Amino acid sequence: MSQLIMDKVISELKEIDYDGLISLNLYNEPLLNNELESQIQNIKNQLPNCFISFNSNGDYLTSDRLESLNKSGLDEIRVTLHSNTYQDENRKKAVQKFFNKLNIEYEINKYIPNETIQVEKEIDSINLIVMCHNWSEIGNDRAGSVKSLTKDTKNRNSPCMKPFRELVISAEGNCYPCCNFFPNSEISEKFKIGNIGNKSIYDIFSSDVMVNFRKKLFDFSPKFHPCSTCNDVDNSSLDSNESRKLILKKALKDSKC
Amino acid sequence: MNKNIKKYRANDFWNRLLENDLNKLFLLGLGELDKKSVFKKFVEVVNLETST
Repeated sequence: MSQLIMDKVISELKEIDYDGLISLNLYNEPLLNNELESQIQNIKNQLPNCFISFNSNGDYLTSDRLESLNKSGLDEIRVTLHSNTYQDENRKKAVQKFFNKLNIEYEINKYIPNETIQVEKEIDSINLIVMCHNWSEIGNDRAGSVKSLTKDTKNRNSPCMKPFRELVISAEGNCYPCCNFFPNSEISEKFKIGNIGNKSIYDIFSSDVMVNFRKKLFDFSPKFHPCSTCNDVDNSSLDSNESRKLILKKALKDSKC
Repeated sequence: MNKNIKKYRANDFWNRLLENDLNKLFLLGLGELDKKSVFKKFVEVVNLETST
């Protein structure tokens, strides 16, 4: 991401004293970025109340890097490990290998057989979350781009909070409805919302494309491509569907006035 | 910063969303001030792909 784009986004977020989460990744490996610590420091200086996190595969995380990230003001690292096979024992070994490399003691906090292995630990001021999940079971098909993870029988009805709660900006400044779109892929190109270079983050979040995504993803109705096969977890309750329908009806009525 | 606050916010997002007047999230043609206030009120995650 160019400094120009980053400065523009941070400057716009500063206008509202943004205090939410800033995740410094999409499909990149942040630890390959030598400017990462200075970028974190800059963001923290401009937006002191925000929470800075990033996802990494952990390959380049060392004790020294952890120390420099601690000093930079980073709040959280989410490490997603990938073992050779997804058998539980192999995934446990991958977690052990990772912590041995950092010489850090750990214990598994969350374990669901054949699905989830997760460790969460505070290292000075950083919340370190390490997971080695069975991605063949719970992996996301990334807006239909990863065909092997698209379940034939799956037809999503549940709502999705992502276009309500998130703004996704690629390294080129392109915005997408959610983080499951691979930037620049053939599918994602069709759903690109706009570019930070010529629109504000507020215009993009309020754009007709985003509004339409929100309308379609708000209630428990069958979802459209590429959301129809998405298995992203949503915490919505079916009990809320009637009130969701009423809210949508009112919005559609008001938009015609 | 209390990191637990952020975790709570993600898990409880729909409950808090449904308690609000949501119309502005669905309507087009908002003014600049409305756009900023809507963003401030609802957006909790900004993904920034800082490198390639």
